[in-house]
Amino acid sequence: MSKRKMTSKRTNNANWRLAALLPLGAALNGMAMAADQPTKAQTAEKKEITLPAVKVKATRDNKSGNYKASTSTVGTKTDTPLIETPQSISVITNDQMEAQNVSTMAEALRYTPGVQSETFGFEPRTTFIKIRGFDATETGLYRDGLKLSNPGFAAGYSLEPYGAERVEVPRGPASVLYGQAQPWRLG
Amino acid sequence: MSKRPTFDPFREVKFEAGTYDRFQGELDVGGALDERKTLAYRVTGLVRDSETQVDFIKDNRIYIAGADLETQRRYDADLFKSLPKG
Repeated sequence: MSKRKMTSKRTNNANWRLAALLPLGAALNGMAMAADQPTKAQTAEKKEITLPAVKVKATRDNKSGNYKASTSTVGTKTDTPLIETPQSISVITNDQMEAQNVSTMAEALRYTPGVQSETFGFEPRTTFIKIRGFDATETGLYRDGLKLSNPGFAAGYSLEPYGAERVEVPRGPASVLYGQAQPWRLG
Repeated sequence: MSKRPTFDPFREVKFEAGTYDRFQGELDVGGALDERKTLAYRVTGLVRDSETQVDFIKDNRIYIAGADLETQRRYDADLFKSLPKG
């Protein structure tokens, strides 16, 4: 988008220079008018203009190259830099999970502030989690933005950390994005 | 967030062994499917056979998250060559 904008801006500048040769009325109407109704003066001045190349470069943070993530999708459901997201978010990257050698999702959350994982101790069947003291086991688990509905007693999700690029924990109000749940959730 | 397709080639095979007769094999491959890097894939799989600290409770698993495809648009100069000059 910005590439197009810049291009058209420069084009307008060039047109202004051409328009300056024309009577005031035509100049005020801008470039479109001038191009549609070429006058003798303009035809004489018309020549091809080569604009300098504009290089636009952007990167997306989908590789977790280290322990520190710079963007997250859980705060806004878009790929937004964490510094621009007004919410407390923790990101456990793939590298961190590998360094901790986690074998369950609850183990991956062991060192996350505000998260109490493995609330029942050793448990390979269910990802038991509390976030800021509220239970997140039944309503707080999401995978790729979609809720993992838990039907309740004696059922649960034992998520495989090897399948996770990262684990993200947004803390604070987020029901406008994620619907009814306990106050805090896990992305 | 699940592992997403990568446009750079990526391959990983792991085998782990641990206490409680734990054996685990992992496979994770990804990469672009065409030279222009417009289409990428990712296949992640895991097989685990393990006992646990509790007798008669196993921690076995077969996991496959596969054949994820992702497209990426390439904004080449060609696109802008077609714009009107002026």
